[in-house]
Amino acid sequence: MKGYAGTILRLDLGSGRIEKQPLPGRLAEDYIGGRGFVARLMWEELPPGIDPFDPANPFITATGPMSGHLLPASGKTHFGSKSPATGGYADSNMGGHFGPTLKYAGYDGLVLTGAAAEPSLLVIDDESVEIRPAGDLWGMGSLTLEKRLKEDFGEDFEILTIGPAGENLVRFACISHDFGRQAGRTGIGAVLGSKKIKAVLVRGTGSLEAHDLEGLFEAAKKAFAAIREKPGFLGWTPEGTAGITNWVNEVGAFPTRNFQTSFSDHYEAINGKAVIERLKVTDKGCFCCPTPCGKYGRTRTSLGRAEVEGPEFESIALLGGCYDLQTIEDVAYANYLCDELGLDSISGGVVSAWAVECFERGILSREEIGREIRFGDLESLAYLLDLTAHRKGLGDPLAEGSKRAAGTIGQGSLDFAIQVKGLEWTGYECRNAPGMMLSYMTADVGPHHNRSWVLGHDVVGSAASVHDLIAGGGEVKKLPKAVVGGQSKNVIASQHLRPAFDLLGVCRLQFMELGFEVEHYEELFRLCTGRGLTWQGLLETSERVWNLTRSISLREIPGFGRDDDYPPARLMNDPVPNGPNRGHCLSREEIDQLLDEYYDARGWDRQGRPTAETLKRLGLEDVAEKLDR
Amino acid sequence: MTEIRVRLRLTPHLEDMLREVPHRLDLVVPAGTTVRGLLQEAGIPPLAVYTVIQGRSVLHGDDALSNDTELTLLAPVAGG
Repeated sequence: MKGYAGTILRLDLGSGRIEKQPLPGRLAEDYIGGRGFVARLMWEELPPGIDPFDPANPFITATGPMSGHLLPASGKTHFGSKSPATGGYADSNMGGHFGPTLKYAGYDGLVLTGAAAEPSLLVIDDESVEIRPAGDLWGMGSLTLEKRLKEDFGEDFEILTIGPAGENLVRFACISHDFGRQAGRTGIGAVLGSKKIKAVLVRGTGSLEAHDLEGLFEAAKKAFAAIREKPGFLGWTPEGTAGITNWVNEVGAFPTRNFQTSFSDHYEAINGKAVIERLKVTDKGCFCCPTPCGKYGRTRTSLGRAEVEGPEFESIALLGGCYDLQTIEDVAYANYLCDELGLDSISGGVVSAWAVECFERGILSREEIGREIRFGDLESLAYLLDLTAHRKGLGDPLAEGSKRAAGTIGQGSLDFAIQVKGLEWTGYECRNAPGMMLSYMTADVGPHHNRSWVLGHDVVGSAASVHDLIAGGGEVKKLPKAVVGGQSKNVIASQHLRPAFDLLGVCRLQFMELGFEVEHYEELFRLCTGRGLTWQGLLETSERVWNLTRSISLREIPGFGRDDDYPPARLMNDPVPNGPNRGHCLSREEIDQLLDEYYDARGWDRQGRPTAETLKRLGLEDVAEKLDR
Repeated sequence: MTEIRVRLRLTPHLEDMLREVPHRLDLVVPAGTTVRGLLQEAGIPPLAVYTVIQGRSVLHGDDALSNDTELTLLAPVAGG
């Protein structure tokens, strides 16, 4: 099967049994790769109803057919499992070099089941697959461990690590790679920790077959040249994702002080320009990327110095906005702590900010916490992150995530736990952005910007609001109240478009940021695999996967449905207190209108369940049959 | 008063977002016009643009333009 490596590596960590399964042709045809493989394998192989930390919960790594080929930004790797954060379907992905190297070793994917008896390393060296004891490495930070393993095994190994958070089953623990790339969301690092796997190392010295290698080479050259010619090619890379900080604040969507408001006064101290001027040492890119958006730099704070990749926008928003850190140096240091401890910096920022608000309201006492904690204070954030990663004291409930922690602590604290389905919200406040709000509410893994991002359309909105903005002289005094209705079409299109790149195993940013044309993807896919795939066909597969992941959560979470799609009470009840959106919020009635329109447009019932007809239309007859039972 | 010529280039996503909004891409404006003022003159809502790029540099709303130039405008479509 051209384009693919052709094999899925399966390992039962309990028995040590290794199986090298030929990649099923039907899987590749119907689900393409990456996130599609994760979803289908999860549906077929996850024993229904088990705990996420049950050894039978499969930990799946998957690449796409375009991963590892010499074409633009083909370095994505996907991970999936039953989510410790939500109890439902989970996937998370990262850039870097792991996926391509896994393919060069001969594997499109890796499925781990069972659990090792003791802390272990999984070492894949082409054909050789070996479990080695790692007792002396248990407890080590993610970044420190990767450096150590590079020294011990060699620079040609690509490495996944977990930190103390993964070991201690923190429900928002991440997987780290390449000194700053994370599969951060849904607690996937804790699943690896539950299997006692501290690191996965892979070295691959093989090559990949392409359907038309010479044609692919020529097409890839043209693709790289086309990206270089794009408007914005030279200018987007310098700040990367951090470059959006100003805009998000100007449109009143910057999450500030646990989402109490959506506008920050100190944004210019933590924006993309600050990253470049005060931190950056060099750009850093993933495998075969022509637009390296990573910024590797140094920071110095009251707590010490660190070398760190980033911060990218999300870490700026949740550590600098939601926790309100005041300088880019402090944000970078907190980012470093999250990376080293193995915590998702998004959930880490939101959960810690929630704890501060509990303290400010008198729900948590100084004695319960162990010290005073304040917004904007790096020392108190570092304290909370360390407690959480090691489940010490208050860190034990915090490690459960804000929804579960609020369930334990009570006193109305769930109202300001900024999460949906048990996963914390990412970097965009939405009380006057109904499309983006709906995107977060209905994202399959919990609120995540990489599933759908329509904030720009919310802001531009109707022609009326455009002219209001122009008439306002360009200075944003106050934005008009958004009109609710008609958002579902854009949201659904975005929910199919953005994850479509996750099927191919390539990064979406060249398309999203620079407008790299879809025709290139169609041609490159054909030359890799020998199969025809239209852009429309890709989007239809993405829709199939979206309905499958929803179905997995329906199967796994008792009573899952509409109630799991509502935003936290704060975002429905509390008008924004200041900034461009002051006075605005979406009412419960407006939220219900959004959900009704969305479910109808998807072919789901009003409880958020895909109908049998919808599943059958998408080729998911077996799923329809099982859900019906 | 010195005038300068400014050409705007839009990414396809921004063209799509502005397809129902009348706007201009070639402008003659007084030297010293700010980026924000230029966008208003062009009929492009400033908040529909997340980054303005001049060569290898990112410009901000208050930056003033002093010479003939070409600017690239990116749409807020990608997110972090």
